[in-house]
Amino acid sequence: MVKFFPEKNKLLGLIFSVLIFGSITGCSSLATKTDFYRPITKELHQNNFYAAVEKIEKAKTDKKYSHKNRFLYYLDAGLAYHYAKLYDSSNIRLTSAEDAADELFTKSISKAATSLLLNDNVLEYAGEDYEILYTNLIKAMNYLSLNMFDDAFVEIRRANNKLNLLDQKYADAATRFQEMSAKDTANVGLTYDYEKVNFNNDAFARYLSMHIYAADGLYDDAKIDLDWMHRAFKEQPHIYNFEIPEVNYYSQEKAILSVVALTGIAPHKDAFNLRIRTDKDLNLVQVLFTGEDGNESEYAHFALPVSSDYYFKFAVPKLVDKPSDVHKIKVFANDEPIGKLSLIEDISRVAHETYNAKKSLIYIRSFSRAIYKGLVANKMKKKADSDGLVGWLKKAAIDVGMDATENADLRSSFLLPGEIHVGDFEINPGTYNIRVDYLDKNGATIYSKYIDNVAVKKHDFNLAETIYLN
Amino acid sequence: MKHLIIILILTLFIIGCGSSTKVYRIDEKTVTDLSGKWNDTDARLVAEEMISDCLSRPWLTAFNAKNGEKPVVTVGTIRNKTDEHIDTETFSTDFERELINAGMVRFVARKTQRDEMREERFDQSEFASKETVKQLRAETGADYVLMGAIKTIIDQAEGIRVVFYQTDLELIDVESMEKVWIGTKKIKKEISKDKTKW
Repeated sequence: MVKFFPEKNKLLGLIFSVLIFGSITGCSSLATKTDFYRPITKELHQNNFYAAVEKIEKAKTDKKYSHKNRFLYYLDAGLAYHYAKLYDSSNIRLTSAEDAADELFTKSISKAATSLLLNDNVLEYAGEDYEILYTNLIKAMNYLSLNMFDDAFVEIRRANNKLNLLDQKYADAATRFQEMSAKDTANVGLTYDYEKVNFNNDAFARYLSMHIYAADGLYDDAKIDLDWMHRAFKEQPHIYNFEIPEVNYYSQEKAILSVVALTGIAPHKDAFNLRIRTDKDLNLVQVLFTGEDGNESEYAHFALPVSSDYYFKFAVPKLVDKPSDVHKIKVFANDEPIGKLSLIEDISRVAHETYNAKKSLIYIRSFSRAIYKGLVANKMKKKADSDGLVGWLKKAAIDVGMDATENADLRSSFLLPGEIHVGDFEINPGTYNIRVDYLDKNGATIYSKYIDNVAVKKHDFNLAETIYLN
Repeated sequence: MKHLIIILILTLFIIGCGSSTKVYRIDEKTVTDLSGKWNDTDARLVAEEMISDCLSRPWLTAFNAKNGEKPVVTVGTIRNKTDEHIDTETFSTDFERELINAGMVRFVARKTQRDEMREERFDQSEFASKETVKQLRAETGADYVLMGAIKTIIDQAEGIRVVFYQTDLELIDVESMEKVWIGTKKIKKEISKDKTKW
């Protein structure tokens, strides 16, 4: 029998093997599984929101959402219930999502150790900051639909509090990393220079609070929030790189109809893999990477004299945008055109900005793991080395094993909208049948949403929400 | 040694995947601070302090001396201006109950209850017998409305969160708009969170 592990690494090898075995057979998995999302997103794209709810619940029953991914289930289900206008059910799940994110903020030592040996997929998913932020804002929309303005405001405050603490969160993480690094006797010398999060004022949150204040008759406060909304655009042009929407919270004679449209889908994560392989028998260095098309390609191979067999795999997630089909949104009241909606939030930009601070930490972890695994594999291959096909097969098996354990953590919600559009229209008080037309870049109507019997009252927040996730 | 390590690791996996539920009944006045959020203890503390303060202030004796009867009070809006979902009814109901039971004030139904009762009376006027139908326009008008708000100030750093709750209640004379009593209860909590767990 081949001894894969040198004596001093015997214990390490044993632990490593058991962890892999445990992870494969137990409650963890080594790669993100997203196939089960296909039927769910298909329903979303066809505006069958209740069917999407049913498919998410079925996926949960079928254990597609494991316990470590409970945040994702709560977020996805909460969003789907919101789209299906089941606001109470949505609130229950989104509250659970927020609680799960809060609970999982506490890092597990045992799981963290496992992730250092395997990959981040074995960790419990605590959600990305942008996912957590929109948990609160969608809940605010739920409460507004339920006419619970105080509760809607609670959610807006929670979102604002999170934004205020966002930069501090990563500053704290960087401090802790530097403290740990100082105690690192191996003196690896990796530093974590976190990228500052330049996002602390959300325009859509300000838009909602502006209208809630106005509905309460607190026009001074509404004006302050309108100013904050403008500041969001002026001070954060990297997020709000489009025109400030013209919004209106007050009309002396008439009433304001506010229309909010959620469109597109937020970015998802794709894997970027970089593999470096050396073969001392063939005197070959091979570099493979994930191309723009998502396929694995050989970047280059070099015929160089190499003294040892190394295999390093560096696997990290990258955010990939999913542009919306929607170019323009027109609104009609009782078949009369009353105006168009304006973009107020590009969730893709928010996602990139908030993800950047975390990205460098993910890269450092992945890089450290790649080096560590590559060196362990190299020792194992030296031990397994023998002439001929058998020796080559043993070494290839070790590389395959190492490759299988290193995968980018691609977990993210596939249900979060990509853009939020708003419009405030001054019309006579009354009851209206509203039509919202979604137009593509050629000006063709790709979808029309009808909302009948919308009561528009004076000095009230008359909110109509429409959703088209394409 | 090898077997010991395997058993240890497998045990950890099993513990990590499993869960169980245990339920214990505890005294209602036991202080249970689990998440650090507003809870029954906070509501009780606010109600207790506000009630004793409200009943010991001169507005009550002044009203009795002037009118020779107990004042009639109703509960208005108590706004939640915090970042938590707080059911303000929990302590306003405590407040109502204690004041009624102390026999020093009379309470009339709050607005939502009044609306429902009026619907009932309109229903009766249509469908109930003459002998049992209740009169319209025979309600007792409140002398005072209890209004207020709960607010929070939050400070947070390095896994420690300090929340300062301030509950302000006011008793307003319906006719003159005069504020006859203002009560404030402040609660400060420090919530620290472990950065790591096993």
